[in-house]
Amino acid sequence: MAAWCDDTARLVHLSRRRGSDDFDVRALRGRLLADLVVIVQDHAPFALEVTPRSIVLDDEPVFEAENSNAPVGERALERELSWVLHRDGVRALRFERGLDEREAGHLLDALLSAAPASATHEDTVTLLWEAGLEHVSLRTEEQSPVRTNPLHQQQAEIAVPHADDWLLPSDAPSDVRRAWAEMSGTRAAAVADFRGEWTRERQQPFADAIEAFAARMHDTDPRPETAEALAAAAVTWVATSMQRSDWLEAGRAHQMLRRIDPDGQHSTESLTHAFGSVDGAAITERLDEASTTEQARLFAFSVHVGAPALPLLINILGLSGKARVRAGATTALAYAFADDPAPLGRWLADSRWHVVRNVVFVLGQIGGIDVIPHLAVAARHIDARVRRAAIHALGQVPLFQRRAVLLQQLDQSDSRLLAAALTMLAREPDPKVSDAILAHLQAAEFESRPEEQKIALLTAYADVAEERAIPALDEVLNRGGWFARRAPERTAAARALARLGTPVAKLVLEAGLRHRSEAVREACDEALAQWGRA
Amino acid sequence: MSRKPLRPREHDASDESGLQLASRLVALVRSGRAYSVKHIAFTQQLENFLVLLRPSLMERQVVRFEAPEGDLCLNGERLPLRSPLHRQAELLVAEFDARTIAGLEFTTDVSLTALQAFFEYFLVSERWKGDDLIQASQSAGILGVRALSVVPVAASAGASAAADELPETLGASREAWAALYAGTQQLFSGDALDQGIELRHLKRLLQPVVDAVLAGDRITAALAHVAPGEPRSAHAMHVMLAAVTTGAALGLSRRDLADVAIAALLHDSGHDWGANALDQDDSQPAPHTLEGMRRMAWVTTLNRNSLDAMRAALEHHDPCTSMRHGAQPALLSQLVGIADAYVTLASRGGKCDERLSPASALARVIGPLRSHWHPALVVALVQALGLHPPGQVVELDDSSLARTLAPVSDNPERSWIQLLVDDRGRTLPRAARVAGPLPEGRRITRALPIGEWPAELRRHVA
Repeated sequence: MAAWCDDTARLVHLSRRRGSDDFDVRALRGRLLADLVVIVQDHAPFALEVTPRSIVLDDEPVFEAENSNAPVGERALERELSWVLHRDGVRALRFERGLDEREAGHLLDALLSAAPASATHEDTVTLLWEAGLEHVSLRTEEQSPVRTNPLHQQQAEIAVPHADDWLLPSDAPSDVRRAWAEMSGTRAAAVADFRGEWTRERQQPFADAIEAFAARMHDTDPRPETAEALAAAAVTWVATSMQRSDWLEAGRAHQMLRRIDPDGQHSTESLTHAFGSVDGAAITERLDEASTTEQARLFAFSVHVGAPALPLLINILGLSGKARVRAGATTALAYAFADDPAPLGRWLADSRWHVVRNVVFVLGQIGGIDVIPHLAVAARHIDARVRRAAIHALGQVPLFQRRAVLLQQLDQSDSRLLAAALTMLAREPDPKVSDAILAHLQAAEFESRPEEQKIALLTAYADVAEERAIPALDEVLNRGGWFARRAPERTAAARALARLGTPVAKLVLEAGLRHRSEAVREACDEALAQWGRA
Repeated sequence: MSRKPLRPREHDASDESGLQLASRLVALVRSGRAYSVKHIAFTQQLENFLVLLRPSLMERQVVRFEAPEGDLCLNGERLPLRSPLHRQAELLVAEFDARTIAGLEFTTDVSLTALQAFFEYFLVSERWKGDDLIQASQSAGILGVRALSVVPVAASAGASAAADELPETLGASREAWAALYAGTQQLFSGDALDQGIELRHLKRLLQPVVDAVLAGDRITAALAHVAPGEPRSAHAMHVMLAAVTTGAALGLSRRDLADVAIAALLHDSGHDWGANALDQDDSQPAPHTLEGMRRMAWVTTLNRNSLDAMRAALEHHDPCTSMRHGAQPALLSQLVGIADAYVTLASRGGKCDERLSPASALARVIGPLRSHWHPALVVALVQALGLHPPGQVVELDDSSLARTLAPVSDNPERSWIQLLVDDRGRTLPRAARVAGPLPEGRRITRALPIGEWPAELRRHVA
């Protein structure tokens, strides 16, 4: 029994990730139902007691949840077999001899169907009740249908009498017996007709039925309060479809919501809340295993929804183990927030650096003036990887807008970051940029900077200031006078002068050949040799 | 019944100690998130709490924290608002809210062991809520501390009263009816519906009733208690029962019957809903059907059951040929509608001459009103209730008088009855009125109009 429970728990996990139609899921299900029939045949009657973290047979635990020590409220615990059963009110499952594969199949299907707890579909107990199993019985605990609020529910019921809302017919009533007799000829036909009509009505897909209902309510009762109520209902449909990873239905639900509430006036807030409250980990787990078509459906749906979908997409970015899924999420975010990237800014404060980096990447994809303030924030992030991503993202922003943010990076201690910022600044030379770099060259801290940073600053300065850079380069080249020693920044200054290639630069280098310090002479000699090669 | 007003009081030392206790309770809950109950740090906090609690218990024997109107009360007296510890009191109320309990009660039996055992449950707020918490701590034999239920006592008492309506022979059906009674009372009390309802949980309450109907139990006898001026919760239950028995007569599956039961129970939820808001701008209130649909949309999660409930609320007064709301009413709505029409007519009126006997109500439904519904529904209603519906006083062929309780299955002409007046005209005492099937060889000769009913039954329906 313990092995069967463990495998059933595995089936629940597997089905959650891959769906119940997956080949492995079907194979495992088939084996488990055959095993259950044999176990029941050999050992029934027996009862499994269900607690939130374990399943017990004759006082011996036959199943303990993998996350049995996880604190209550953690979602990993809520996906365990024992929790799923207990959550739905199952306290004991009793098996009687005679169980067949059909009944075992109903039991497993009920478990798999109810496990995601989407609230759209029935719970385990109702599914088993509907199946009418003869050899499996449940001991259950019932919950109140009311979400009781102790702050409001203390008073006893005020017994409001029912309203007489049926008018008394003015016609004289017929006698029941006579009326019954009059029906005798038509009873059978009427009942047969009813059953046919009933079957047709009940077989109408739910999505079709609710869409038709919402459309006619829109036509017959145009009051805004009706639209508001229907929009609230539609939001719950969107949320539960998402929780089941049924993206086609979620899309239909959202389309219906848009028809009811075209400008989102009644529903945007609740929709955002719904997207934030779904179990993103479960959805991502499923998404990682899903086909590309299924993934594309989710991303298309998210783009269609727009801003309210942000929490879900961020959840996927943070939790997905598949690069392709994360790439899909970033693309969807870039499309969804192309017009207004402001909501993305909130996620720059997320504690997960990789999420922030991806958000920065999205901001870069969006580009334009609106992303500047957010990239400026990201450029000051504690994690250098995020800051680098921010600098790269600034490449998608007009120069005059990004300049201030890039210039702030000249203070950076991270050499790669500084190099990236300088590279970007050097693309379009500008006096303000050259002045800023010069200030850093002349600052007292320059001497204590790492070698590569000094070289990068000097090189970039020559690139942006051109002829105007010569005095500063001259000063670095000759710094130290008689006692000048060989230093990378001296070499870099000489090379920068050589790269400028102007007559004045050549004069500076030639003058250096006559310098009293050998280090200066060597640097100039090397640079002039480079000049010659050029 | 109006709310019991909270006693106003002067600020005194006991207020301060009450707030101190509340503050310590909040601190215990916080610590319990970091430490296990058995941890030395938590145990020390529990000991300190006990030290603080003892003097209050010595003085009052019981210390009860409750929040009947959102403000924390100690033994029924509201704690002061201006104390700097008031924030702690609010947090304690929020903890009660999170566990759907009314409060906590400590008595002189309380010990450290009892507190430890109680907090094992209390701290796991996601698992142990409401009655679960109360029952679990009671089952564990914890003395001196208990959680207080939010369920009004009246509902529990009412549940057993509801079961008494049914014949003793019904067994499990009585329990099912009593449980549903308690649940329905909760559902229709105050603004409980507007807090949101879980149709899945409601369906679970209804399943045993559906099973009882399908098993041929005489649970239909509960319809003998349809009475004028009955409260909305009773009306909803009676309509639900009439609809389910009618659906069963049509051969609907148990799944469909559960769907019918939910829609029927909630069909009239639009009565008076939203009226206050509309009164303010002098607008005419919308019909209860539209308001019911709107209310269902607000308080449920959209699925097939909530759609059924919305449609039934909207369409249950529409004739089957009507296109009033853009389409013909669904058969499920018609099924709820015919049950509602019967129960409403059977419970109408305040004065005796305005009231209808069950048979008169049925006669109107299957007579003048029959065009409202699919013809099969009219047939099925008679099959479900019998030619002499539950509660009807009838005369037998030996001149005795009886009250019908439920039809014998497959024969609407015969019923289970309760003899009221014997063939010599003697009124039977209550204890002698045993329920049983109409004896073989006996037949019902006529249904009596209310005016001819024995006086005590006329009073009952009044």
